[in-house]
Amino acid sequence: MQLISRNTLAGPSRLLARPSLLLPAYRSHSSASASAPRPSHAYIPPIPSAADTQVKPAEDTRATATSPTNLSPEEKELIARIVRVDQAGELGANWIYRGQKWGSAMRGDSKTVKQVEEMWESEKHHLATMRLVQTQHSVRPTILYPVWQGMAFGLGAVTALMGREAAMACTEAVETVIGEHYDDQIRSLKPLLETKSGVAPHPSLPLLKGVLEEFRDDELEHLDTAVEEGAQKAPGHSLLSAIIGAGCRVAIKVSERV
Amino acid sequence: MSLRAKILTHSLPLLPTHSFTRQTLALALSRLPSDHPDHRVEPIPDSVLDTLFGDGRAAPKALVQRWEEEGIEPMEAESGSKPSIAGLESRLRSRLTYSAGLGHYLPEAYSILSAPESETSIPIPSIPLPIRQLLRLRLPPIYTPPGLAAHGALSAGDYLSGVAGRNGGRLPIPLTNPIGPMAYAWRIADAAIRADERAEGIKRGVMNEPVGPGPEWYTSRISLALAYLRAESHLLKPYPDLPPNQVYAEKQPNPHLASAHQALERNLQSYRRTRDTVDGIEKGAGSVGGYLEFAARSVGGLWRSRYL
Repeated sequence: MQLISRNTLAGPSRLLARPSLLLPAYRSHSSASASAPRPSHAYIPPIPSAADTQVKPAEDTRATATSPTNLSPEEKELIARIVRVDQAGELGANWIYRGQKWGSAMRGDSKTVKQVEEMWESEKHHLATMRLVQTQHSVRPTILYPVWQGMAFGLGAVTALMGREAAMACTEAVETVIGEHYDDQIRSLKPLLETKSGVAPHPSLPLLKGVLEEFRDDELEHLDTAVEEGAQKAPGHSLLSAIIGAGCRVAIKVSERV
Repeated sequence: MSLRAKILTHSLPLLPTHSFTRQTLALALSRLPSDHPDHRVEPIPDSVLDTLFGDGRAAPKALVQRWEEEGIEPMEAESGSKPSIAGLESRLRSRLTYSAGLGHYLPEAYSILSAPESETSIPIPSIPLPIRQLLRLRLPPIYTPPGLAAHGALSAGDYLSGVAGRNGGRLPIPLTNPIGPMAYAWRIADAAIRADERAEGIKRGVMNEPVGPGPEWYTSRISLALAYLRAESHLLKPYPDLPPNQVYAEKQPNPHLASAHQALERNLQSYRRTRDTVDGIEKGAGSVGGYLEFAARSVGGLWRSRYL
């Protein structure tokens, strides 16, 4: 991992406004790291290929099946908020892509449909993983689930009907906010990962941090893809990005609590 | 384990005989076998209980919370091989049996759950002097039953002074917390359903997208909590009267447990029918949505090809 400078990372420069932001130099989906195990595979293992005949030893399920019992009420509340808002966010991302796929199909733009489907596949994996994390830590999901479903679908559909560039601009704006948000969460988890009174943290906590880092990298890759596909050429790009970004921040604040 | 946790844990076997009282906490360690490492010869003094639990209702409330946690632990530790209504019923039946173990002290648990977090009171306003003089007037009673000596009437001023003196110049307002019993039933329903959710894994939609947890996460828990509460309400009924020469044993199981189990079975059947209906409606809505999308795309294709 290395510090990324402004010149090497495409995308909104406000992502780099924080000096302590550390981003990986590689893309998590690049061919060099495609076969590396990812933290979320602890919850949803990849489908083994026919050539994979190696017998793997039984894994310790504490990290994926149990929740820490020695946390203070504030720490429990922090974990609950992180999981709740991330699950709501992945739900929103899924329905945005569903709306974009529908809107692009309505316009007859099969190229955008294909690209959206590729990005949607990774969001499905994210949502499935967060569902398992939510069950593991017994976290209450957001009660506004159907509201976010409707709003996210509407946002994706409207921007897709506006045009390919507008759809990419929507993706760019959403993934920017989500990338920053994941980074804030990873920072807030650090105190829980320290050894306290000689007791190591519960294995689910480092795994949760790994999952958040993995998802952050995936979202930033989607951000890169959206910019490369012409997000910044969308009509009214600045206004569109500002409105969508503000809406995402409000949704994050509300989902943390409701 | 801290002293507070030890006292609460060892108080649980005394609940069917001593109820949720400070005496139960005081006797918790002294009633242990003498060879038990936590055994104490003397009951725990009030000063220690005040330090550990606070005064007033805090101690009985802590005892109720510990009793509740003890009842939920077996449900949380269980993870069914396949989620089913039978597994859910089995867990809730065990929980009902656990509640019935309190005997006729179960209503006390409910009353403690319904107690507000803190006492509510309003300050008694200072009354102007002329009105205070008026309030000191003692009017004779309107009616004195025959055979009873007329007693001195109590003036309104004396009554208010008495209340103010007993409560530090404030008028207490008795309130209840109606959410308390519902929250208790919610926690039981949540623990019972979670074991099934862990075994269930991820539900997928028609596009292989993960589904849930949507409103059904809340509605299933509310429905199950109400079903359980209705069943457990049978345990709150008074015990049937016995012939004059018989009394109930000290740790008599609740005689209404069988009717509570039957009520639970009926309620869970209603819950399953409702859940199946909702699932059917959701699937139907999904099919309708899919058909409408297909129709819209067909019309869109016709529109695009209209001049070809």
